[in-house]
Amino acid sequence: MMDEQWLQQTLADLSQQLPQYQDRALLAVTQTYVADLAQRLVNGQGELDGRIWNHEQW
Amino acid sequence: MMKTLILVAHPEVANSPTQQFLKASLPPTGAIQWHDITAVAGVNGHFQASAELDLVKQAQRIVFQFPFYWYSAPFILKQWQDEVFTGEVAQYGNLAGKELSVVVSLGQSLATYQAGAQEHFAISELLRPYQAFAEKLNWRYLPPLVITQFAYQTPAERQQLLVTYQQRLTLAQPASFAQRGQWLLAQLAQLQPATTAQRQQLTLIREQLEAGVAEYQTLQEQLREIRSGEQA
Repeated sequence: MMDEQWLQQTLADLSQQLPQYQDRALLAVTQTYVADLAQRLVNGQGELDGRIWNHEQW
Repeated sequence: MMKTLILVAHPEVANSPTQQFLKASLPPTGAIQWHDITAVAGVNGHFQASAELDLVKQAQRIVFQFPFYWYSAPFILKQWQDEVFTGEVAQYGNLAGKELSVVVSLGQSLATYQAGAQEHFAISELLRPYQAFAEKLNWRYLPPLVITQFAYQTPAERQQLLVTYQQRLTLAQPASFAQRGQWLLAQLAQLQPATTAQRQQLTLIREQLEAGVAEYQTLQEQLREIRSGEQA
């Protein structure tokens, strides 16, 4: 299970410590990706729940 | 590993902040060739077709990279096309299956390039000659990377541009959301932080992200199964 909050915080922490611009850019874009991923996981889980509880399939 | 050839068509690469940013953005690893065609033609003002074709042959993806001058590339790119591809199309059958990607920089915002707006025509329409060139040679034309108003971009936008550009050079297209995650994981694996603590942090980041991407893929598979079951 991905812990988004921890991941975002750790990415931000590490980014501040890296001297290379390219490396910091990679971590920043990874942060954006993680936010998107977390939202997709919520959406996907919601869709899964909704479809499983489809009364027409009972 | 995929080989990428970048044909940089700019009259003054050294004085272009956009081109210099892109040059500094090249991934540290990877089979990527930065080919400044203005410099190459500079020797006698012409291209040596066989040498240029050899470069094309060796690459899987060819990038036309240029600023947008009067709705097209600077003339040097047309000269390169005209002087390198001089024969019948059939002669280039051995080059079929390559990919062409355009990386173009604009002085205006993208919103001005549409029907009814200042520039009237969409970028896809204006870049059609490059698409036709790719089609004729049986190359796959990839969606262009359009860089708008580089001078006004925020630090966050530039960081995003750096990574998007690297993906245009090295990531198989089209790429799904999960594949972009795999690409990021591969790049993170190549980082070499200075201290042990930083390396440990990075390892944990990769593990977490990998778990997230795997969870997403599993979820998508389950959804696909349920959706197809509902349709049956």
